[in-house]
Amino acid sequence: MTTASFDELIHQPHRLRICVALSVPGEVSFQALCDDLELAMPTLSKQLKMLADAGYVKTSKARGEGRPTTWASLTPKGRKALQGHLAALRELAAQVEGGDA
Amino acid sequence: MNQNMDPADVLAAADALAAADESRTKMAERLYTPVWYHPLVGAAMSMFGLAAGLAAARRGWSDVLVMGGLFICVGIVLAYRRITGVALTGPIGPRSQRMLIVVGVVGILLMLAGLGLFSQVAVNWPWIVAYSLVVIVLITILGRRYDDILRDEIRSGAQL
Repeated sequence: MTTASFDELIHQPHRLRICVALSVPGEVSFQALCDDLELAMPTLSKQLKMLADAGYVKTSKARGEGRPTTWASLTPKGRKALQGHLAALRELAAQVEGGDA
Repeated sequence: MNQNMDPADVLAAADALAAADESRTKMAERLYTPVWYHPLVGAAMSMFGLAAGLAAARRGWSDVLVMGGLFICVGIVLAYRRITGVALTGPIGPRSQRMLIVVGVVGILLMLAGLGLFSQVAVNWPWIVAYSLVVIVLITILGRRYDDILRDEIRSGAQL
């Protein structure tokens, strides 16, 4: 059972979309995040760093052919915070459907 | 929290949820598996089944087949990561978890069938081709079904 808990850090639109994209089990490449979220690399780097500093995201570099690739994943702490935040957003949005707004 | 919320915040919450849905949809679209992926998984599994049968019958080539199967497995996993930009480590929700178990059980049964078949009968090309085709077709059908469920669960925000 997820407890609804509004998270100021995740609520920023770019960071929310990043966390949702990273909510799949495993890792997502930096380039894939840039493409899907239509974010410039410096913007994505900055937002990922903020999430990593909070312990929500883990990044790693893998050297394959040519340039090293950066991979990012959500930590258990980040996953819990995202689920709580989404639950809080659903509670709020339900007010619109319920006509309370 | 809900009682005293500003209406603007409520609308912002709805917008944020819509953005989250869009992010999930894009991730699901990204995870379209290349058409060659599952047939190659099936080919690798048929090589493992054939290798098990040959090893049980104390015939040669089993080591080569195992190495070939492993080479295919590693190659397709790396190619999938490179093409999709995603390295999945498991199922998304309960439906994909169940389907993964089904695929695993069928895979084990198919390899046991290979073990039984090729350790008992004379190994010849018609048997090898027939066995490989069955494995490739079954794994491709089940693998694609698993992918469909996985993408549905990503879009819906399902989780384990």
